[in-house]
Amino acid sequence: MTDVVASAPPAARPHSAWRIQRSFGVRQRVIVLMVLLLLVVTGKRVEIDHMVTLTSDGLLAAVGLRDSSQVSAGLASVARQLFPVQLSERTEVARIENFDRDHLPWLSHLEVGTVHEQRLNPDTLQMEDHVTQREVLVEPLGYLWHVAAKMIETLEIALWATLLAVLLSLPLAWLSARNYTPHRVCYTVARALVSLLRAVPELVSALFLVLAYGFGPVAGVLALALHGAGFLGKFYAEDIETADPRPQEALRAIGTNQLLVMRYAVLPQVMPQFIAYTLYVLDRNVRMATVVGLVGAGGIGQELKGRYDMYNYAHVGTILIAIFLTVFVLDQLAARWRRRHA
Amino acid sequence: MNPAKNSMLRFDSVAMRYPDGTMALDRVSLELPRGQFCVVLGASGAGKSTLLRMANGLVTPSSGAVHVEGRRLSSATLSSIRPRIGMIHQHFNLVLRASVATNVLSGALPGLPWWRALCGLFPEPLRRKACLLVSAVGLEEQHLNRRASELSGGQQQRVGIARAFMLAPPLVLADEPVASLDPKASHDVLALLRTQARERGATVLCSLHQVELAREFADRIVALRRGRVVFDGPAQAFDADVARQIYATGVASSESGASEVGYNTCEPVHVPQAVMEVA
Repeated sequence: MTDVVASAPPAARPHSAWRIQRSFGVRQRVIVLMVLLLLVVTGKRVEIDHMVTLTSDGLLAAVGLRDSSQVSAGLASVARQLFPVQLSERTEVARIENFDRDHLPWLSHLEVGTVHEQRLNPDTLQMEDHVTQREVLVEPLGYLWHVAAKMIETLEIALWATLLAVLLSLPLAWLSARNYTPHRVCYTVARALVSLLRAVPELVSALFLVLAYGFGPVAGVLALALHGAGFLGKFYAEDIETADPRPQEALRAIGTNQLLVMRYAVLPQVMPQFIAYTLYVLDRNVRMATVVGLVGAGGIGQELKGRYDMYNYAHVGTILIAIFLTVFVLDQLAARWRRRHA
Repeated sequence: MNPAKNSMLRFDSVAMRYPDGTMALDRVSLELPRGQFCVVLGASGAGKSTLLRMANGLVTPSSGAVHVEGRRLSSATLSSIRPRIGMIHQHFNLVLRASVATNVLSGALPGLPWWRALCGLFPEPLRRKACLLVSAVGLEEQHLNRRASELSGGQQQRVGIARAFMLAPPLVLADEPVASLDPKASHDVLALLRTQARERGATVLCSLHQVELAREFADRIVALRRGRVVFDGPAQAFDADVARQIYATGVASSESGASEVGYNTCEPVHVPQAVMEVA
């Protein structure tokens, strides 16, 4: 309103009396000191100094200024065990059911290997050297295929988890957007639910869901979907709240109901952000699907855990590379899609 | 004809008092017969916008009543009355990321079953009508699938006009439709609004702050000052003296009568222009 009567301006002072505030006053300095103190104390508690010593030792060893270091030796042994990665798969023919010698799997061939075995002779009670000829089916890329299949299962878990997260979060976002919620109580409950979903880590909920649904992808899908719904619900709601109100008013002025106002005035505005968040959740779900697999919730994580427990580190190497490549490719695709829809 | 039947819009001593005590409107009574092009003039803060937004219930008067086509506006009648009132906004209020076609079609949403509208299944007659309106407001075929953000201000307001006429409303509200346009575009857009309203027999209640444009396009001018009607009559009767009166203290913030007297001593002939600059 222009009707507000302006109060009389204070008398002008000469410019020599003007002051521009300093960028760093006493308050700021005290805050900086406090933050530094906090970093020193907490750094000591999480052994940052230890980390710095070990890392610098490792670096010095790497450039030859030191003979050995715990870190570089550990990394080297890991690398030796992971590489070369396992690509092939060897299976004894005797262990394959209904083996058909005339129809071997693609690219595979048979090898005959001699196996030396120490066996106890029950008559002489002596260890004797047994030599047996065994036929082995060698698939040069067999393990790679296996990992690829597991990776696809992981992607499927991530895809469905994202889909369920979106479906779950849309009503939550509606209820927890201040300008669309039907009632304050709905708003509070929805906000609390969204926070709760986001607060429970996937790995923890997967642990419990595995108990409820048994081993397998279902637990993984649900665990990821619940966490994703919490994340998306919060961000969708914030976007809905900050969307330009003017188109919404234009539709409301001619009597359009809330659902259609959302569909025609809000959704087109927030679509780029919605897509960005959803892609982020998908990306995150692919990474987290490998992790929830560790507790038995399906996918490549389950394979990783099994191989790790059996000390098959070459297999673990294949799996890690597969995960890295998948996440990288997905990242590129997501970036491209975001560019197109921005 | 029955006078009630001929009345398109009637304000019955509507008042609007904000919680902080300011009176945006002070017992305004106004009646618009069908087919009239009525312009509400006034400085900013005079209550034009509040008055317009009362007509379709975007603002609820703190006292008094609004009747549209003889039916009183209330929360019960709101949903059936609103689709009968088109609205054109100062900032166009288009969805900038959506196409021109979608923006125009969204003006027909209340007339569709909700599930059809939700899926974007606009029936062919509506699509035809949207094309017709887009061409009627002076846009080309190639604009149809452009995003609204790619259009100039004048073109965006044309889209806004096309959207407002989608449901063939008997009443159109235009809230400062040209306030954010340059003079040439302002003139064109108002001319367009007037032609479209004439062709479709729609009543228009339009708020403006440019006196010249009001005098050129209005059948009737209602001038507001501080929430009160200070002039109501045919556009020809609205002359420089009246203009001086409404703007004299409407813009300046001081309440003293001295400034009004002082303003009166200004050169009378160019007042409307001077007023435009002040406003």
